[in-house]
Parts: sequence; C-alpha cells; structure tokens
Amino acid sequence: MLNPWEIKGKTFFEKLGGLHWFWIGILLCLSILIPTLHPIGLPISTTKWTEDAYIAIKNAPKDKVIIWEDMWGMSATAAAEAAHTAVMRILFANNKPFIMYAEAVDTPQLQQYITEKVLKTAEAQGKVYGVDWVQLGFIAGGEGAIVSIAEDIHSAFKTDYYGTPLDKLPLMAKIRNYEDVGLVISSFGSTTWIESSVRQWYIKYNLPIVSYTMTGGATVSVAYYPNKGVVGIIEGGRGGAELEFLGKVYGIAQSQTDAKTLSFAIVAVMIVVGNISYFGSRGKKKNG
Amino acid sequence: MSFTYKSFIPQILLSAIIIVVLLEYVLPAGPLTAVKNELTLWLTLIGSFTFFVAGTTLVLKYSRDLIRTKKLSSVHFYAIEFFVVFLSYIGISFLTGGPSGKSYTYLYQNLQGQLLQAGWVIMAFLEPWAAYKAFQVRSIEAIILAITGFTYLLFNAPSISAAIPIIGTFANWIINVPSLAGTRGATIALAVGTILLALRMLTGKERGLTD
Amino acid sequence: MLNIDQAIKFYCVINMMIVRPGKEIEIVFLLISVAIYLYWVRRSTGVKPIPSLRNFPAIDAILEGVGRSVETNQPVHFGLGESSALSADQAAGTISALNFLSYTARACARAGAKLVIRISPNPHLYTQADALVTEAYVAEGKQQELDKLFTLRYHGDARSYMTRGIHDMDELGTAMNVTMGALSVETIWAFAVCRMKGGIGVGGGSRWGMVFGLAMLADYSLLGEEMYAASAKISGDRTMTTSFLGGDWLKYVLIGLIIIAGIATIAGRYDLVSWIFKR
Repeated sequence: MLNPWEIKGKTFFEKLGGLHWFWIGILLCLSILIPTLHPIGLPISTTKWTEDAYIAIKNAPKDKVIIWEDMWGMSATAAAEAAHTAVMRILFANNKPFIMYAEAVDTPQLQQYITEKVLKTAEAQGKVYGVDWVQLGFIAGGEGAIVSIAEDIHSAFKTDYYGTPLDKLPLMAKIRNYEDVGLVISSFGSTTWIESSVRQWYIKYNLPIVSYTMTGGATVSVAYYPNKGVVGIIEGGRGGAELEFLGKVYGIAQSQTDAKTLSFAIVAVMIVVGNISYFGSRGKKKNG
Repeated sequence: MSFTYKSFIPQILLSAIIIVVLLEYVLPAGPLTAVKNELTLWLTLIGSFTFFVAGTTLVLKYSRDLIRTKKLSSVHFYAIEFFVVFLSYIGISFLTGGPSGKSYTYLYQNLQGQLLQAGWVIMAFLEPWAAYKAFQVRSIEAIILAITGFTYLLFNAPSISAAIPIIGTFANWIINVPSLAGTRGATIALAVGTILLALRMLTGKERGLTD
Repeated sequence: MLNIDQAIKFYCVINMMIVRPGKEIEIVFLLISVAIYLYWVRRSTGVKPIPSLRNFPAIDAILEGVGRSVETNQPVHFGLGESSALSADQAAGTISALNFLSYTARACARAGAKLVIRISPNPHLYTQADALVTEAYVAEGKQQELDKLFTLRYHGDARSYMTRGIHDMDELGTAMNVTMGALSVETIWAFAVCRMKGGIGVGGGSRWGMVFGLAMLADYSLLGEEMYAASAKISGDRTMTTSFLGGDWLKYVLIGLIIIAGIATIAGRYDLVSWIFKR
C-alpha cells in the first residue's frame, strides 16, 4: 500500500482500477483547496425543506424561547461552521431569544467557537448574553436529558456553561419548561438523532422541530417532514450555504459549496472509472 | 439459597424503574409524573457518573499496559501519552477556571480540535479510494443502490443540482417515495425490537445488561 | 337507563380516569405487545418445540473465516462498530454485536486462530469486550493463549479507530473482518481494506443509514433486524429466540393497522385515521 507510483494490473482496464489512493486523495485535496482559497462562485439552488426551516425560525413565536439542542463536535467544525454560524446570525437578526445546550461532551467548545465568531458580525451588535441567548453546556443522559429539560429546565441545569447561576440570567426567568418553548432546533452530526427529538419534543409536547443534520441525514429527517414534527431541514454544509443565501448572512459557505461540488463530482467520476475497470477486466477475462 | 447480589439488585432496580415509567405513560397525569421526572433527573446524574467510570476504566487499562509490558514498546508510549494528556487537561481545567476558561478553551480548540479535524482529513484519502475500489455493481441490487446513491451524491453537490435540475427532481422523488417507505419500515422494525428489548429487561431475560 | 350519548360520555369519563387521554391506541398496542411477549416467554420454558429461526449464511461464514485464519496464519479482525454504545437506540445493536463477539472469540479460541478486536471509542465497551473474550477463552480452556495486549485494541476516537484499524488489517493481514453493531463510515473502509487483503467480509448493522455499505461491500451481511435475529440464533437462548418470534407477530399487528389506515384513507374515512394516529 505504500508505493504511490505503483499501478497494479496488466491490461488497460486493470490499470484503470489500480490507481493508488494517494493520487485520488491529492486530486480531492486540490479540488477542495483551490475553490476554498479562490471561490469560483458556482450557482446553488435552495431546497424546499431549507426554505421551510428558515421560515420556521423567522416565524417562531416572539413570546417564547427557541431551544437549540446540539450534538455536533469539534471534529466536525469544518462541516458545521457554515450552518451553525448562519443559524445563529439568523436568530440574532430576527431577535429570537434562544438557549443552547449540548448533548455531546465537546459540543460546548464548538458552540463557544461559533459564538465568538458570530459576535463579530453585524447581526450580533447590541445583543447581550443572558438576555438574547444563553449557553447552558453539556448534559449527560441522551434522550433522558431531553425529558429533564422539557419538564423543568431549572432542575436540569443549575448554572450555565460559564458557571453563572440561572437565576442571574434574565432570559432564564422566561423559561421554565416545554410550555415556554416555541421551536426546537435539533442539530446533530449523525443521521438518526432526529428520532429521539421527535419522540420527546413533538410526540409528547407537540413542539415543532427544525432538523439540522449532517450531509445525507435528510433521508431520515424527511420521514417526519413536513407535518410529523419536523417543519424544516438544514442538511450539513449545503444547508448552511442555502441559509446564508436565504437569510442574507453571507459567510464561508460559498467557497465550501464550490469545494463540495468539485469534490463530489470527482468522487462520482472515480466510482464510474472503478466500474469501467471492473466490467472491462471481466469482459477481457471472459473473451481471453 | 445463594443470593446473586451482583445481578439481582440491578435487575430489581431496572424492573422497578421501567414499571414506573410505563405506568406514568399509561395513566393520567398525577403523582407518578413527579416520580418519573425525578427519575429522569437521576438518569442524567448517572449519565454524568458514567464519565467518571469511563475515565477510571481508561486509567486502569493504561496502567495495566504499563505494568504488564516488560519490553519497551509502543504500548508504553501510548500509555504515557494518555497519562500526560489526561492529567494535563484535568490540571489545566482545575487551575484555570474550568472547561469554559480561556486556557482550557485555547488548548482544546487549537490542539484537540485541530487534531480531531485532521483525523477527518485522512478520510478524504481513504473513503473515495474505498468507493473507487469497491463500489462495483455486481448485482441488480447493487445497480439500484448505485443509481440512487449516485443521484443523491450529485444532489448534494449544490451547483450540479442547480445546473441539472432533473437531478434534484429525481433525488427528491427517491427521498420522498422509496427512501421514505424504507425509513418508516426500518423505524417500525427498530421500535418493535426496542419494545421487546425493554420487556426482556423488565423481566430479567436480557442477559447482556446485568450479567 | 342511560341513553347512548350519556353512555358514551360516561365511558369517556371513566376512560380518562384510567388512561391518559390521547394514548388509547398506544396503550392497546403496548398491552398486545406484553401479551404476545408473555405468550412466547411461556412457550420458551415449555416442552413444546418452538419454530426455529432461518439459517444465516453470515454465521457459517464466521466459522469459515476462522478456519481460513488458521490456514493462512492471519488474524480475524472484529470491529465493534465505531458508533456503538450501550445507550439510546444503539443499545440493541451493540448488545447483538457483543453476542457476535462472544461467538467469534469462542470459535477463535477453539480453533487456535488469532483475534484482533477493534473496540469502539467508548470505554464502557472495553470492559464488556474484555470480560466476554476472557470468558470465551476460559470456556474453551485456552486462557493461557489469550494475549490481551494483542487482541483488545481500544481507540479513543472514531478517526484513530479507523486509522489504527486499517493499519492493523494491512500490517497483520486479514483472513476475515467481522464488523457488527452501530456502524458509521466503517462499513466502507473496513470492508474495502478487507477485500483488498483478500479476506472474507462479514458485517451486520443496526443503523440502517449505513446499510448500503454492507450491501455493496461485505461478502456476507446482516441488515437491520437480521443482525438481531442472527444474534438470537447464536446465543442459543430460547427466550431470545422466542421474543424475536413474538416480534414478528407484533409486526403483523402493525401491518394490519397500516392496512386498515390505508383502506380508511382510500375510503375517505380520515376521522378514523386521525383517531388511530391522533395526528
């Protein structure tokens, strides 16, 4: 596996399928690096479910709080940064108070990183921590934690992520339990967590959910969309780019969509090449 | 008569909790709701405690690795590396204002975060190569998988679906018709399996958990 | 005498006192589930023979792979699944994976094959795997042959699980790769490398989202529920097997409910459908 110059195979078709992983990786890295450094500006389309997600956030009840439950981790910063930033900027731009909490151990660090970035944007000017948003930190227990939070958030958390008691945060006085929640944004770096959110937030308390999932996760979330709990879907980096366009909060997603387009196209081409090699080699073996 | 306390007590606790939660679900809102809410709070406490157990498990594992391996090898290196990182993070957290403090955050975001992301970058080399080598359409099922997977891959390349709208139409059909049916079927099957798992836990027939 | 309206009102009031409003259908289904389960548990303890689960080629393939491992002197690699955990919806799949680990470990101990276990980035599974493998080797009387440092390989993170797993499969050779549990991208890299090294790939996944990888890349796959059924079969536990058969009956009940709802929708009886599903 170590010699990148080695191309296995005797015939042309066998050699076509014998490329070393190094060259494929280099091709992919270039397809990601070049548009990231110099965005090409390829057009993108928006999907109905992202538009619905944006509308749901915009139209969330003003007298209630938005809960943002988050499971993305630091390892997925590159994938999560665009959409996390866009969601937060849209929440600020539309003056929607929100509370973030984490269901994975390294999510608070990601939330902190994103918050520091967003606070430098125009949408965050004038926003006050404790009044416009609160970061609660990590809670263990998975789906059981949702129950605790939904029934009594002040029992589930005594302080926020920075150690401030909740009674010192004005926003926390407005929320006791699920009755004070207008919308749930369920973000997770997997595909199946949405089922837990639907079970707990929607089935029990009839709260609408915006599903913010990783690329490919819409296939699971769509089972509950548009009227079985999930009112909108934000799918990975593409969803982030669409949100930036819809909310006019332009950021890094444009270069990411260019990079995604090129890299996905290359993967698709490689799969086709692999199959041409397979069928070509088989044909030769049958004839010869 | 022997009293197998190691499995008997956890089983009694498990069965009692499942019964309380089930009854609370079934009966109208009442005193059991407060009991269930208290139990779920305890669940989060136990969930937090498992991190302590996990940490202890790792410390024991790497200590054993250090002690048992006589000849100096990479096993020692990994064990020492674990202890250095583990103790450093705990020390920095305790001394500089906890995990939300500046020093810990700086260390985590700029060291751990970058290393974790670098791990993902390795996938950029391996996953496409694995797809290129192994995604071969050898059967009817594989052809169907290839067509649908291909379509969804191109749909998720934002500019390709903007340039070729039929990909978006076909992808939406795949997601909203066959995939949706499969998702719902799989969810139902998972739900049935979970109900049975819960009933086995309730009656002490699930050996994997308490044995 | 009560008239019909009063009788319905009286029934509703009594109903509301006994069951939570809006949960009637769920409670009926739960009671049916309990009844079916109890029936099959009773059958499992009785003398009457129980229907057997069908044969799964993947189970035979594991034994075949162990034999191949002895012949080629290359290890059997067992991955517990990079997303496996004993919580939430991964619990059932992880428990099945642990059953398969026990089965594979016993087969390896019996045949004298080398075994390398990739343990999920979840420390709790380390203790489980340690206990199961030790138990397997003790049961075969081969405790002295168990080298835990070689066999049990814990990786603290999903990416190191992947890179180390690929390194081990490449460096040590791969007679067979068995990957079971809550899988993620492992379905792609593990079986691609296994195929490249000429090994047999056996996989089972409970997270149906990654099932496509198994279907395309594994030589023998157990998709979704098949993994639970095969796990019940290899455990040899009658209660596990009968509860699985009870699960099939539950599915028939659900299929019946879906058919009723489908016919009601076609007939325009949306009130019946919303009464059943309360949405």
